[in-house]
Amino acid sequence: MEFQPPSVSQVEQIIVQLYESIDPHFQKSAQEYIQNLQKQQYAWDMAPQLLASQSVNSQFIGAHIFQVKISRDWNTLPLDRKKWVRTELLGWIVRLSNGSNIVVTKLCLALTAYALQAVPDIWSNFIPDFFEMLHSGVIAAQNEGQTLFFESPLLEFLTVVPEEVLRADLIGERKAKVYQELTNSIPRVFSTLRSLLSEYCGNLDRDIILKQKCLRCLQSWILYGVPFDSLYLLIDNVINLFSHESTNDAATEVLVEFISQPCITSYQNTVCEKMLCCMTSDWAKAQMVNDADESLPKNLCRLMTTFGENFYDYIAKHFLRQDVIVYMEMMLMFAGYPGYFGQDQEISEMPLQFWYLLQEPLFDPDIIPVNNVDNDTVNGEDAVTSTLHITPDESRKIREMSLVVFRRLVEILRSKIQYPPDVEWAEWTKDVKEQFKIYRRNVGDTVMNSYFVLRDQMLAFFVDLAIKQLNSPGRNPSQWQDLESTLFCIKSIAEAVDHNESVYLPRLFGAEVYGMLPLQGHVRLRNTALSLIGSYADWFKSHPQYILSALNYLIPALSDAELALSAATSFKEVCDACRDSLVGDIDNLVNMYMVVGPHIQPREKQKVIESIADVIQALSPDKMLQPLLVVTNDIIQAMREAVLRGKQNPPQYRDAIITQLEYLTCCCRGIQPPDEKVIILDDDEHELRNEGSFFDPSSVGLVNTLLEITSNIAEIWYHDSDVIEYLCKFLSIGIRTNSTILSIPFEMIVSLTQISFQRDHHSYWLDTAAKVVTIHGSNNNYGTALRDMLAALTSTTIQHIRCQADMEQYPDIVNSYFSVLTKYLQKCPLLLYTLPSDMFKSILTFSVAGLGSQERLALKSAVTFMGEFIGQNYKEEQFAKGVENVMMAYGFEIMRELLLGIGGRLPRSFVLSLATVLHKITGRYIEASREWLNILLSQENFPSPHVDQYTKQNFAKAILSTRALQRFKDLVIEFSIKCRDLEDSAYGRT
Amino acid sequence: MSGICKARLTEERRQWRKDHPYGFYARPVKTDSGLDLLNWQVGIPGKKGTAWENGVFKMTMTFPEDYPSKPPKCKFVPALFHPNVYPSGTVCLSILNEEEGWKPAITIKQILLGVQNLLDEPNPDSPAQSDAYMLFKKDRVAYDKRIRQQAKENPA
Repeated sequence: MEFQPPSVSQVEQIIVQLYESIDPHFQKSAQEYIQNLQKQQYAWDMAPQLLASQSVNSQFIGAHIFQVKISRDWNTLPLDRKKWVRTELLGWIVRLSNGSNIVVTKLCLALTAYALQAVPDIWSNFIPDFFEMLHSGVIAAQNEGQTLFFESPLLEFLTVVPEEVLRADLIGERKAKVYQELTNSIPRVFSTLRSLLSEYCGNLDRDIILKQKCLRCLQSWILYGVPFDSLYLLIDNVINLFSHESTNDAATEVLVEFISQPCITSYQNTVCEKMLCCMTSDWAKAQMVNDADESLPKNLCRLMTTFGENFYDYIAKHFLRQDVIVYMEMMLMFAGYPGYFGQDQEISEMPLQFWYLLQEPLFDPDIIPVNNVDNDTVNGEDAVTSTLHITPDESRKIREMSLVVFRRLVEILRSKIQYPPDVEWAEWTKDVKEQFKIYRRNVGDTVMNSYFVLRDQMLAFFVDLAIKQLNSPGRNPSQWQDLESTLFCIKSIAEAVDHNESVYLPRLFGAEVYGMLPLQGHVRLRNTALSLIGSYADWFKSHPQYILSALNYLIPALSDAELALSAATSFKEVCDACRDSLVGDIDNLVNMYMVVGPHIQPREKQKVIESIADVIQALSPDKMLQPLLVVTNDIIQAMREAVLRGKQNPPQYRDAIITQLEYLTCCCRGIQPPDEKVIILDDDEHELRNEGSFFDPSSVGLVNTLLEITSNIAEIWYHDSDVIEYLCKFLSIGIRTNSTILSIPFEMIVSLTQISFQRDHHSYWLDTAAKVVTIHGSNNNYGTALRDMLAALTSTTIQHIRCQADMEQYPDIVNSYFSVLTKYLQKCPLLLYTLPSDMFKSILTFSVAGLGSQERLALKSAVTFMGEFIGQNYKEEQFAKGVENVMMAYGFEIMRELLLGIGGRLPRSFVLSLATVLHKITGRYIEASREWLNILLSQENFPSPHVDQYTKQNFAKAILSTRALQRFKDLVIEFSIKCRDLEDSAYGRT
Repeated sequence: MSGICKARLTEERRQWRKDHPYGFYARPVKTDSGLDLLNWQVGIPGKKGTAWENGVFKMTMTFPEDYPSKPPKCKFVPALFHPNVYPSGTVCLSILNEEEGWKPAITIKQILLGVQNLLDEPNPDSPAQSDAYMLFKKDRVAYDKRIRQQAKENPA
């Protein structure tokens, strides 16, 4: 729709509204108006009229319209008008070159857009052309007595060209031409830049602007990619401008880009010497303490850090050189930049990465040769004879020197992570506090990396420091920050410290430090001290004599709300790692639990119970029951009571029963043997079975009690899905322990599951059943019971889920039911075939229906089951025959569902798994598949109206002759795309 | 470990140290014989302004020998309550699936940002656990409450 062109003054009014109105509604409508205007053909003529305005905003919009029109509507413009546009743009650039900068920039962007469209047919050599035209424009202006600031548009244009070229998606011949044009122009551009950078233009303000623009332009060309030699000629000029406040920002950017170029390593020596000279100049040193303007030290730090990150090998090799030593000094000063990170400054985090990088070459024998046997090598690599010219004496000195530097670094870092005084901390905003904590964690990483340099020296330093801090005369009792930071550093290196360390850690965990830590107040200090214990759990394992005193420090904190989480976490880590050492102290632990247990909050109490159970697990089987009875005693009491009262009023006691069930579950989890021996029950994990479970006859009483309680819970709260969830969790974890002490016997759990699921259809019961089958499925003695359970669960499920709508409403039940079936297939497939035939048919019908479900969870589990069912491995002839009979009866329907799904009824994310199932069918039953495919695909519009007979026949032929799964999948995906009519769309294949 | 795999993981580690998103961490596991580049421990912070905020969720990344041809396996430890996390803790995400969206060019940083996005934007099209999926579908208020509780249990 072409509007009647508005007059310029009308448009200008709208522009005023756009820029000056404070009413967002007005602004929005003005914006929409301008956007609409840009779509019109007459906008080409509107643009120069706006550029002729006195208003900068109108000029800007005029230039913008040109840019937009050139990019979007280039093809609507006849050739002669294209030339007109170029003349207009160049004319305006000359005319407005003394005017507003944003207009000039916009005009240059428009001209660049023009050049990218016009190369090579309409405008080749656009860069030299621009030089010439600008030049003649300037001369013409001079003849009229005008002086033009022509460097401004020149530099603008030369800045935006490389940027826009990199940003544009140029292809083919045009791309080659444009790149060639830029490359050809490099000598001219750089000689212009060189003269502008080295000459003073005669006016101070203008000179600064000009130099800044030159630097910006240079940066843009570096990003584009310029030969090193051309660049290097200008570097002295840039370095010179780096030490002027007004050009420091722009020069920093150039230097950062300069030393970050991928090719720069080939010129390492030349570049490094020059850069070191610049960065360690007196001017630079003075900036480190420049309080007036943070941007100067920040720029310097950024440059020095970038340098270090690119040339750490060089620094390591020249570690003893004077300029490198100064550089290192300065980097240390930046690491310790005054003020709190986040609150007062943003500098001290910048160099952290550098130290990590530096540590590697210093200990890399390929870079610094190893000549002492006692020097550590990185990653255990063998020392290689170095080809470097570093004498043994030098490398010894380098290593000595690196110890000194890193020692100072960790001292500095320790001081930087110290919390501020409490009153100051309270005033920080939430964001700053969080930033500070993350900074502490990053420093912690750097401290750990420094440990690989300093090793024992670091432990010695921090442990001594902690002792000194605790004993400093006249220490303010409220002061905790310094000691906390020291402990934090020791915690940071826990991962790296050798478990056999026996000099410093005993002092730390003994009377000198832990023996003197405060027991009241000082929450942050104590939290750090508590988690420090947990992080050294493995060390305690090798030094059992220190465990008890550590636990004595931990235990009182368990009942302190502010400390409980770190105390319980560390308690768990220590008990878990040191269970074998703690068995002798089990009575003490249990007694301790009896005393503090009642005062611990539920979440932490769960951890504590599990920790104690960890230790009980390490006892010999005959000794386990006693302490377990003590620990479970109050849980069972509480459960009995909840059951008794819950009978009258279930909702009121549900929370109580859940809490106790969780305790019991944790206890069960604890008495499981660690890692390798447990049975992992998850869907995507392998199972490991630990044979040789034992039975302790004296546990009969406990088991009977548990049985009674769990049956009661299942009955009273049968309707409460949360209670049932926790009950089933407990039952399931009991099944996987190899101890019978806390698990309900097989027969009972099977009957409880059946009855309860009938009572109310919670999927949790099916999950429990799946676990029973996983563990006991291959036990022949349980065959009958397992078959009966399957029959019962099946009839309940099928009665409950009668149609697609039910599947959509209860996908969790469908999912869990299919998981049960899948487990039967995996563990005891024959049992499925011993079901009454009606029931077996119902299962198959149910599964076929599942394949058509739109509900993702139900669908996914049905597809998994079907794949498993068809892909069963069987050795016995009779069994194979049985499966084949089933497939002959149901294969057709299954295939129909699969094809419908592939053909568009199911989301595309399912196509791959459907293809896998289809692959199994065609692989096993090729003749039948041929027939089914034939019948199904010959139907009109099946599985989709977008595929014709020819395509369908080809598809059938192709998949029947392909056995390679990947190729098969590709064929199915291709077919699916065609069925969905997504062919030839980029969207189709992703 | 193949040369390609080792070189890539070394570079990934370097890049990560050089530049990583705010609040994340990722490092190879330390063993007695040095760093185990095939096993990383990572922490993913919950996004601000979501029910996941203030939590940092620990995950292990296990790289196969033929990484980066094959994707790493990402597993939350402990397992996470989330519709797209398997009960074992393994993350179900298309970019981590060799047959779907995995490309050798995907970096560790991109993976972790992808998983962070997944936290608050679960994909109901590929459920991996029933509990979180059902609650997410049926009761968003209760779901969010559960997520907030989980964030509290995994403090930064």
